[in-house]
Amino acid sequence: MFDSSVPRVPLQRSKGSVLATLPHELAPGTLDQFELDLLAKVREHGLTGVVIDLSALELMDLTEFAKLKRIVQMTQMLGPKIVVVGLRPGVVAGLVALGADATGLTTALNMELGLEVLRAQASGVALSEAAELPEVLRQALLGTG
Amino acid sequence: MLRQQVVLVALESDVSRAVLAARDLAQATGLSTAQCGAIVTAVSELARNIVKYAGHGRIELSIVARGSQRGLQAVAVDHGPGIESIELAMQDHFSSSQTLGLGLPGTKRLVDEFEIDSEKGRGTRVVVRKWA
Repeated sequence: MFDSSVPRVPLQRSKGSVLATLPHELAPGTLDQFELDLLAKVREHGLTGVVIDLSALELMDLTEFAKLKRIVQMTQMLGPKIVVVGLRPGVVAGLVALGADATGLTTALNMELGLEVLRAQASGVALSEAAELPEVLRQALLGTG
Repeated sequence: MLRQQVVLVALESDVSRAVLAARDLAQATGLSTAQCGAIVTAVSELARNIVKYAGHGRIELSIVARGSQRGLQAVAVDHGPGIESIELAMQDHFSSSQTLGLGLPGTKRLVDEFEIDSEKGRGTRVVVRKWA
C-alpha cells in the first residue's frame, strides 16, 4: 500500500498523544495513506489521544469529509480519544452547505482547546462509565493517570 | 489572462486538477476567499459525481460577465447513465449515509446559479455560476 508519490501527513508524538497536521490541500490518496499511518502509530505506541489539525486545509468536499470521519471512527474504536481542531470557517461553510453530518466528530477551535477537550474527555469518560463498568473503574484506579 | 479551461475528468487525480484549475480561475475572476471556497467545493463535488457515476466527462471553466459583474462558470458534462428523476436527485437526503444521493442540493447551495439537464441513458449537464 505504500506509495512514495503520496504526500504523508506528519505525525508528531508528544507523551501519549499524537498530533497530525493535514496539508493545505489534499492530494489523491493523502487521506488513505494517513489512515494507515495513524492507525499504525496509535497501535505501535499505545497512544491515548489524537489531535487532527486542519488549520491549513483550504477545501474539503463530502468525499474527503466522509473519509476523515471514517478515520476518526476507526481510531476511536482502537481506544484513543480524538479531536479535530482548526477547521476554517470557509471549510465549515462549504461542508454545512453540502449537508455534511458531523455526528461523532469532536471538534475544537484550536490546538490548545483541543488538548483541553482531550483531557476532559479522558477523565469524563472514565468517571461516567465507571459506574456501570467495574472493569473501567478498575482500570481508572490502577491506571497511570 | 486565461479565461477558459477544460479539464477532462475520469480519475480521482482529475478531480484534484479540476479543483486547482477552478481555484486559479476563481481568484482571477475576483471572487472573495469565501466565494472561491464555495465554487471550488462545488466543482469538486461535480467532478466526483462524474468519476463516480459516469466514469468520465469534463469540467469546463470560464470567466463570464453580466454587465460589469464578473463570475466563474463551471459546466460539468458527461455521457453517463443520466439521472432518472432530477426532482428526486434535487431533494435533500437527511440520511446518515454520506454516500446517498449525488450531493446536488448541497452543490446548489454553494453557488448563485444552478442549472441541470439530464436524460436517462444520454448523460448529464450541470451549470453552476458564482458572481463576484
